[in-house]
Amino acid sequence: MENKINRSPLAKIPTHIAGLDEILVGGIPENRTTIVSGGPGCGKSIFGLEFLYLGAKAGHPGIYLTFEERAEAVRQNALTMGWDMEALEKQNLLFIMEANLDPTTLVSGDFSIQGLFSIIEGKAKMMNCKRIVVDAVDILLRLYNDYNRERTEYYALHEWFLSRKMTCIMTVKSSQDHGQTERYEFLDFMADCVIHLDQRVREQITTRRIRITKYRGSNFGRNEYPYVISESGLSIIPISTTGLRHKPLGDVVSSGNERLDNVLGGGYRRSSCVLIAGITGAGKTTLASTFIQSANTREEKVLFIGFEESEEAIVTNMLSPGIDLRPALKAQRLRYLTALPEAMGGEEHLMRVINEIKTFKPDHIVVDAISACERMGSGQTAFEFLIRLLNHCKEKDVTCILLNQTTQSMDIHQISGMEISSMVDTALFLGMVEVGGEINRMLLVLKSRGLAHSNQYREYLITSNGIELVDVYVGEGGVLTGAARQEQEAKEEANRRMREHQIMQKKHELSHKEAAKQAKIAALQAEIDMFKAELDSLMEAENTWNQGRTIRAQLRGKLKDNVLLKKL
Amino acid sequence: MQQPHDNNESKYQLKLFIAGNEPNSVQAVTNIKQILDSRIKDRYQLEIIDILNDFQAAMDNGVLVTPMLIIVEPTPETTIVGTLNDSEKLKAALRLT
Repeated sequence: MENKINRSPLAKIPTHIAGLDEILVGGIPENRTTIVSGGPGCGKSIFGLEFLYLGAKAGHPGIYLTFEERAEAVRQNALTMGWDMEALEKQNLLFIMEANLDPTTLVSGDFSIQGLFSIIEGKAKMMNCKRIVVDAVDILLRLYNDYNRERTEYYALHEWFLSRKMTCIMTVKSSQDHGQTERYEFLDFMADCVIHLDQRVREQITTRRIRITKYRGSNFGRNEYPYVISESGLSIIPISTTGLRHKPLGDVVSSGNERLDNVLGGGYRRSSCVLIAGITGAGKTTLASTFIQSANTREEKVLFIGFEESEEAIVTNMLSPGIDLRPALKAQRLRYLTALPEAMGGEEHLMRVINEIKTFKPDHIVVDAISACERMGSGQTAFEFLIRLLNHCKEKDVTCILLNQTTQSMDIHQISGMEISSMVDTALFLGMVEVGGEINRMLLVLKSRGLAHSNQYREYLITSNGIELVDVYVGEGGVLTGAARQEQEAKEEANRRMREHQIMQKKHELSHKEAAKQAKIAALQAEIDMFKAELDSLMEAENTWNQGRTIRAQLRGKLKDNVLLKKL
Repeated sequence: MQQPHDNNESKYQLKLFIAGNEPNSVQAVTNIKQILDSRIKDRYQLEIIDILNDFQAAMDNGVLVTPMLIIVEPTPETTIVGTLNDSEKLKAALRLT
């Protein structure tokens, strides 16, 4: 029996606020009170309003109790986020209750907030409502003018909601400046879930952070998470809860340059992160635009996030190396999202990009350049912006081409000044080297995850036909470029010719010798033949002579001859 | 019945919102009746509304706390919350000095 109780998980209600349910591991506790504290302007009211609005749209009625604002003002504010409260009110799914006490109200003796309970109870019953947001109840409770009494009433509210099984969000002001944090500290002990919103200004740019300080009976993301209030409400982008759900790298896509593809071991990997680093003028944007152009021919969409140049400037500039991006723009397969990094905080930048990715659904994105992101506030801001963007892209199977402007030529270690190197799958370095009084462009593939890539420096040229990789020259003393390379090549050519000549000579000699041998063999054969002929004729003569003698002996008589011979 | 400082022509119209028999509500009823009966007997109209039975009335009148006395007439409308134990304050609000 006990086991059963322990195992039953805490019932939660999803808030459906972007990213929040992830760090709350499901949502806010059901039938309990959640405290949302924060200073002025940090979005406490919007938090509550969004919870009710999204809930009401899903068919869960809710009451919004405001002690600070007029109901009309609440409706107006909601409308700026695109939330039509009135429509939901008409459907009895939402009720905005103005709980403003006339400021001229006199106080004489003790009182209780029974009236409030009565109204809530009656209305909740009418609407069959289980969700309530109590915004700035401190305004009412200050009427007591007694801290201890105020505290007691907070507990009374909490108890009342608990007994009615209502899921409540109570907003509480906290501001270090006004020394009120201590004043409402007890609330953090009282509530089951405490969410703190914080707004701070760093380097003249406002950043907002959300932190769950307490969640009874539940696990939760314990970090501070950046959040933004955008045109569509609150958005939280937790960094540590994402990141572990990366998919494997996709198939290989062409970089737009055949020779570069060979160097890379095939091209870029889909849904990977490609880093192109180099000093200004090295051709980073040209290389990225080459890719955009090839993506267009494959009918893939690219989102270009520019922090440095305007759309017009990039499109015009790319015409000189012969890259025409206008067809891609016309086909709506290329979109530019440009803004100065200083224009807003990192979170706003991120939300803008994420929203654009959501609506445009690109296959690839290009960020030009990540080195400019530091101007969003600080290195930390830039880092968070990038990590979150990369995470988002990996989850959405979007290829990220990051351009990074390094300050010093050929300093490989500056390639990712912000520690994103582990996130990078392919790293290209574009550098310039000075050899023999001239600057030449060099390209090096530092990394190409999952592909066998060349690890040689390659010289490249930016021509009117785009980027052109020159044949790799492998010689002693490293890679040579430009005139030095030509000189070396000429030398090599001379050497080669010399060797060729020597070989030819030897070949000739050999054939001469061969011929001489043949001649000698022929002469000897002739001699042998002659001897043979002479021998034949001698043999012939001998035969003829022997035959003649026999005939003569027969003619003279054989005996006579024999006696005669004995005598001799 | 002659009260030198009172405005004899005035009609008093009051609404007292209470929450059942909560101690401070009971006290408020006693306190208001005592003052009214001692000073303007027969010239007032006091409506006692129990919000536990009528939440709509509480909502319409913005009764967040109880007990709450609304002096509808004489105008301007005045609101006093609490047990109404401060008779001086109450008299001032009723303009009975």
